[in-house]
Amino acid sequence: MIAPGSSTPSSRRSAGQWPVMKIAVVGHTNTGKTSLMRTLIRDTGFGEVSDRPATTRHVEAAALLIDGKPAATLFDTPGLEDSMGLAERLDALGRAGEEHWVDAIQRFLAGEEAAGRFEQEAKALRQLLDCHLALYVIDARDRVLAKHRDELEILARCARPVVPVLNFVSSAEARSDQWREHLTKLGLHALVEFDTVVFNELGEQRLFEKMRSLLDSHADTLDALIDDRRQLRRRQIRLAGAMLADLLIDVAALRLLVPEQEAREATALEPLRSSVRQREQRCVNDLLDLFRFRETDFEGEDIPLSDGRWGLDLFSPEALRRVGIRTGGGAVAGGLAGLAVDAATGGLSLGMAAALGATMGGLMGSIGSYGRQILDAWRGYTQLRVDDQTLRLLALRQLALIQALLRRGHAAQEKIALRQRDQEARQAWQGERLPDSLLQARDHPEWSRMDPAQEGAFRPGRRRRQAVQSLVRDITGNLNRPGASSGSKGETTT
Amino acid sequence: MTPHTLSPPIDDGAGLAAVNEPPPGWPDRLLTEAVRALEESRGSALAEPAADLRAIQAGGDFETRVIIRARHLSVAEPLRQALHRVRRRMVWGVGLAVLLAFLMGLGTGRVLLGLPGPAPVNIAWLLGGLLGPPSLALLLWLMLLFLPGSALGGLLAGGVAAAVRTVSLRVGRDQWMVAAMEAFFRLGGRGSVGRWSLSALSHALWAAFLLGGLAMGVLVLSLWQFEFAWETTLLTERQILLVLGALADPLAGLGIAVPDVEAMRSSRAGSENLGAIRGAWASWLMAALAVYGLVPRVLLFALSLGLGALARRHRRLDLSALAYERLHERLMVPGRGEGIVDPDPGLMDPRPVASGVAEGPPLSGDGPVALLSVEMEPPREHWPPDLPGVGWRDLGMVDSRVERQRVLQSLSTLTPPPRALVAVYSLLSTPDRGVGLFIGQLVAAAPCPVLLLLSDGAALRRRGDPGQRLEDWRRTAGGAGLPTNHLLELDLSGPADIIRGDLSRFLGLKEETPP
Repeated sequence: MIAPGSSTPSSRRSAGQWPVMKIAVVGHTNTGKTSLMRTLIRDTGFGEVSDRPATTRHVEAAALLIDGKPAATLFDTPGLEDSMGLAERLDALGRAGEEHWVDAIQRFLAGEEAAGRFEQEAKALRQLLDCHLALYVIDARDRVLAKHRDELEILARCARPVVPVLNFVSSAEARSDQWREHLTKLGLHALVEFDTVVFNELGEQRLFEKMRSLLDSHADTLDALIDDRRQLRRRQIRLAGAMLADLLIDVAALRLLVPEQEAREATALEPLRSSVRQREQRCVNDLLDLFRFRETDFEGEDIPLSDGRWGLDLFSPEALRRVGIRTGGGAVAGGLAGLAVDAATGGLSLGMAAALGATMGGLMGSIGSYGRQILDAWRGYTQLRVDDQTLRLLALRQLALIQALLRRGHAAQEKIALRQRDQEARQAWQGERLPDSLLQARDHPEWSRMDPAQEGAFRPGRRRRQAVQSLVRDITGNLNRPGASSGSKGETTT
Repeated sequence: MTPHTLSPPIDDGAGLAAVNEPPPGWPDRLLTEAVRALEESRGSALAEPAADLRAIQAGGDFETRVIIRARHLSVAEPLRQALHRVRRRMVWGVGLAVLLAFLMGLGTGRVLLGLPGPAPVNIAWLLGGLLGPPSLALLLWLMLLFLPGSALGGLLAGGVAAAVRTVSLRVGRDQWMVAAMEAFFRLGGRGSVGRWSLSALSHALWAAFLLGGLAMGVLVLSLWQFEFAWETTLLTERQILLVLGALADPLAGLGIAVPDVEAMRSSRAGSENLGAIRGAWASWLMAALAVYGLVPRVLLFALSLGLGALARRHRRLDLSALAYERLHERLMVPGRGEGIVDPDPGLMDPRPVASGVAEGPPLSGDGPVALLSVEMEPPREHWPPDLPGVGWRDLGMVDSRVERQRVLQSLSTLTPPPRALVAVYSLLSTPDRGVGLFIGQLVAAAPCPVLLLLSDGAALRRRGDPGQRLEDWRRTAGGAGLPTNHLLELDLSGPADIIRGDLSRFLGLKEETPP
């Protein structure tokens, strides 16, 4: 027997084969079994969810995949509606002779009533007997009742390990403590709180861990699942950061030229605004896609573009600071060229060429960017750009969306809507200066996909990629902060 | 204990053959890279769920899925055409370069040989000029080959490829060409594929050059008469003869007529009768050019082509780029539905249809009103409420099987017999079959009409829209035989006067005159 932890899940993965674990999801009707399935497989389209009894009337399977290969199969079962009647029946059947309870259940399943009055319950039990483990889903808002006791008694008779899963624990009506006490009295200690509407990655991990503690034979599979989900999460955060960084650089670099007299009119901002709006919408759709939600899950608001103007003011503190940055960038490039010259001359110039190169590079760089602006002004054009405040707003909105998506379970029915209040609460981007990569993007209009001059032939160069990487680091720093990305107990849905 | 199999085994992807997809090859990988370049320039992955679905269905590892997705995108066709155009341009460019090399070879041969003059041609200089640069280049190529991590197949070839690329980028630029070019150079220009492609090009160029030199040499030597000699000031005769002889011996072994040692010795500049051996020297020259220059290049060209084809077969996409990572999340789903394994036979609709009875008989008699709380605690205060003309018989709360049995039995033996039984349920609980069954049992066991009181309406509304739940309760009650007007929604946590008022109306009591 392989001891847990002695073989890393990735080494098993290379063997390519997982023993497929079968898990039955059972419980009283309308407790959220189908919702649990949706959350675990990250698919909003599985099965049917409603607030009515007997919504699910068949057994439907779903696979949990690692690297595209099934590691476990979950079975959604019809809810138990008449557990008391069933318990009575089973009691009557079981009294005949000394046999294991599970045999009595088998006899029940073979009988007439299993196809008639208890057809739904029989389906659930049949599936449970075919599985390695059962997840018993409980609506934590429900009172602890005798029918639940009867259900658990029946499940216990099926001789399969049972993990109780408390759903809706984030609701104010939840009675988690009462349930915990009740379940402990029944000998069920490995209980999991798992809200399918407010997703908590630790909750999912604990679910797998509890399953692992009860099902030794599939310890490797569960370890691999835990590992895979953790990596999935990290990847999603990284990619979400990259998408946001891409958006911000596109918007920061965007520059429209309009003749000076037009620039003073209110309609001048409209093309800029619609470009930015469309780009933001694309980013939102990409994010929803990344987390496997649908476009209909989000209701956006229009961003106000307060003042997109960027006048040519060489003496503003901002511009002077830019000169400092510009010189830095140009100087480095120039300095490298100088060093190459040094090597060719065998170091005889004693670093003079390096110094000269640095100065020249800096000068050329500054002349380059200011040169362009001066030329445009001379020709009678003004640059229209997205200002810093709007950039910050964009960043905050998307960060809020990302955080909401990280906390959203796939069984959630309400739309995500971002409120202005939420954004002001995020301190990270308020009042600080913009990250260097964005300031750098200001000087490179060719970094923007929306740049009209590059219609259809945009190619992200190496420097843009580096800027994106550096911005991603800034962004994911926010998202990886503890508590930023996990829903905690007691929080209402966003 | 092995559970007996009820459900079909889950398949991890139907496999390529099952979905009618040929296995991925080099053109597919080029297409996939071109798609990636296109998506990168657009900023986000193309949204074509049909292609994604095919990729997921085909199963297999991530690379296979990405390739299959690329095949089925709508942009695949224009990209394939663009790739063809790029390939054609490359072929033209390479052809042109080879032609140029050939012409340069001709030119070099002409320049080196010159026309016969009074002085004999310096054989060493001639051979060095014709064979030297190609041999040095070959040495350099060999060195670069063994340099780890280098994809350079030859500086000359690299220069040619870069030139073609630059020219292409200036001419005829649309998004398809840009993407196709990027795919071509990123996939075909790096790693071992790039190295062998460039090597093949390099060898082809030098072979063309040498062929040109050879052709010119043969032409000139056939039509003019030269005299060859060697000369030296610093080196000794023995050293020169050693080198020349070493070059000649393998050629002699091949059966080519070359000067022997004596003939070579007598070819020193300034000797007499150089003309006699001019034919031998000429053949030595041409043979050396062919055997030491052209043949290795041709062989290496063939070798490079072969190794290039092998490298292309083994080349896998570099999946670490951001665009691929995004696709990873889309194609390598963490979970998927597998379908229904035990279908609903549809024998019975578990949700009852409401009975047709809307109005039940009014309450009669003057017995007490029995009160029963099912699966919930009754309110602690003001319960049962003080209503004039109503004597309450409180049966308490019922939950477990035992308690239910007891209550059902006691109903028939109640004295005095009640005029009605009010069963209190919580709206928060789902009206399932078990609930319906018990209400039915109450109706059957009670000697009087059963009224249903549904509490916790406020809490239900806090959760959301109560319409469906209320409807379900009505149906369940109706299915158990309760007429519609025997159902009352009344929140028992609300104000006491409302409770009294609604309850008295419900029980058919006279209206209380307002104070």
